[in-house]
Amino acid sequence: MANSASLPGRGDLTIAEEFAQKIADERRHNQLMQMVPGIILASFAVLASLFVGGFFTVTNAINILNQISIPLILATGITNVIIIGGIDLSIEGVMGFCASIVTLLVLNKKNSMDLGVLGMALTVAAGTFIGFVTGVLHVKMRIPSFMVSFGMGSVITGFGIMSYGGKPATVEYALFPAISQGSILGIPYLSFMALGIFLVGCFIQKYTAFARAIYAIGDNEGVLRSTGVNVDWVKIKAFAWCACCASLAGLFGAIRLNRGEVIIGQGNLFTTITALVVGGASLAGGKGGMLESLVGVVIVVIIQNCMILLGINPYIQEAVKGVIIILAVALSVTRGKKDFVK
Amino acid sequence: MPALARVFRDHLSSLMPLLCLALVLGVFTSMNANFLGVYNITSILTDTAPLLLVAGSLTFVLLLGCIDLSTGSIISCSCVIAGLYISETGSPVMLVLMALMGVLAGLLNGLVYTLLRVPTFVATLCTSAVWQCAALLISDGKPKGIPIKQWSVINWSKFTLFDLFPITFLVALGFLAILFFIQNRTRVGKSIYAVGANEKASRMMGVATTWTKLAAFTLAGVGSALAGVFYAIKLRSSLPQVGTPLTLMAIAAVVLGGTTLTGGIGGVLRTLVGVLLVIAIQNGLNLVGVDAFWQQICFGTLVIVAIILNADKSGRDIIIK
Repeated sequence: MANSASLPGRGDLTIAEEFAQKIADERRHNQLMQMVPGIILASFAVLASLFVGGFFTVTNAINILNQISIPLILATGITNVIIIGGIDLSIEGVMGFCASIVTLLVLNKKNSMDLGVLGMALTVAAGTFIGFVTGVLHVKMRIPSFMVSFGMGSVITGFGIMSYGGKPATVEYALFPAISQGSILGIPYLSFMALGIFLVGCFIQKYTAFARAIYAIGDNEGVLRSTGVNVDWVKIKAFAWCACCASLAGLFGAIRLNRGEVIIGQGNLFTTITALVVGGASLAGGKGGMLESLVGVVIVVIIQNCMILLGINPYIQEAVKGVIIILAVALSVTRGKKDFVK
Repeated sequence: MPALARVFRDHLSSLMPLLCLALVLGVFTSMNANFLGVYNITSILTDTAPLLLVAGSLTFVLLLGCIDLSTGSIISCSCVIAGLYISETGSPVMLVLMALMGVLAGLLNGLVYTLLRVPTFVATLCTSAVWQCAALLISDGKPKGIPIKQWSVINWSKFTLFDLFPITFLVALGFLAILFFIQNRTRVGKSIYAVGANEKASRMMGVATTWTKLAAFTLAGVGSALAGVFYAIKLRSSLPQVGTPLTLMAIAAVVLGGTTLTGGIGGVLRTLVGVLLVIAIQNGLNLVGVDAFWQQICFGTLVIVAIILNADKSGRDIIIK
């Protein structure tokens, strides 16, 4: 009876050996899956260079680096939220709101405010606070994160529009054009700053207990809770950090446009979620990371760039992203493991 | 006594929306006496009709514990198609045609969810992008009025019974009655409650869970598509973005009515109260002269508050993501 638990065809393995074998199989499978986004990225880059006219040029490379900055910041923030198995649908709203209020706080044509850098800091603080509120509502009031952030997105977009009363303010603060037009080696300052924020995200992920807790929550929240970690607080921090990044992205948007309105946020939610799921994050939580997100962002920006170069209707571009998300999520779902999807 | 307390609490939860409605009506009437005037009531009921179609059928999706974020885009798309169709020919075949489109849209949502096992909020967010894209492509991104010579085709929509009940509202009530019948008298309706309350148990009991889910999403699609037709008729034009705010409003209506996001509790009659509540608030805010920007803020807050009130606070061990 000693070997009754082992399966036929596996030979005379003990239960321990069988378990080890299973773990090894799983690990091999995971390693393979981790390489998929990288392979997709490489093949996309090669295909685009071969078939899309104007893709493989220095100007376009700089364009791509330029286009990467905002999705990269947003991805840096939302990665943690996705890893805990939640989602933040309010990033567009927060981004638009912050873009709107920052232009009203620095020197502008609409009011007499002139707070300069302090105004920018206040904006980021306000954005972070919104994320904090979202997190508290989600955790303490036990509302699913997609629902609370969906409602919050609507609320905050409303406040954003209201702040400028339908007529966006134009910025006269000299720092804005200085940042948006400055570049080193042809690469704009904004891309470097985005990379900086991304590196901060990497640092957090690699060296803090917060990030360990994030992964643990995504894998098995119950176990982590019973070990005494303050799970609620970790989640709130994840949402606050996400909104902080979204407000920085809003700031970038305002700097680039030199004016602030809520539509600066539009379309970014989709790009970001597409990037994450293509990069290999699982919406069920526990999987993903900064590097995966970076790969995902680059893939999505390349796709976007090619669609623009090919002259595809912008309406269709959104739909294409939607289809990509569905496909990527469908492929990454671990079949049969978690039975009930809602 | 605890049994009595529980009975009281249960009734309170279903009475709550009605009490809120009474409160809202009271507040707005005291601020502006015209609020309960015959003309304004007709106006409220006219506005209620399309939302009733969406929210009524969306109730089933929420009863499953799922969500449908694509309703707004389906409304936009069907509004565009219906508007252009009336402009061209304008035969009543259109309603059937649009219902078919709704079936298609709902089935697509359901299939992505059940076959591909994509969580519903992502699945419907993505299909919403697809339908919005279709609406914008078909309309070329611009609103287009129905030419006056075609107005005779849709003049029936102006009829009001007893000078109080607009015909569109009556049609929507009829649709709601069908939904009520489905909910209480058919196998699908019972299955939806069972799957929403406990999917595993209902599957073990032999409930066809996949078909149940598909049916719920299909109904939501049909409701949304018909609402789009109503908008086309009411506004006499095809507007490619008419549905955008309606996704949230429909969810607000269902949840305010007392259907929970976790599934299994609620019903279409409660949604009727929720819809009246939402429209009364919107209408009242307009009447009192509150800025349109505030309404977006208001509905976002309303959804969150309604969910907080409805949330099951007892099951602390359930993990909410």
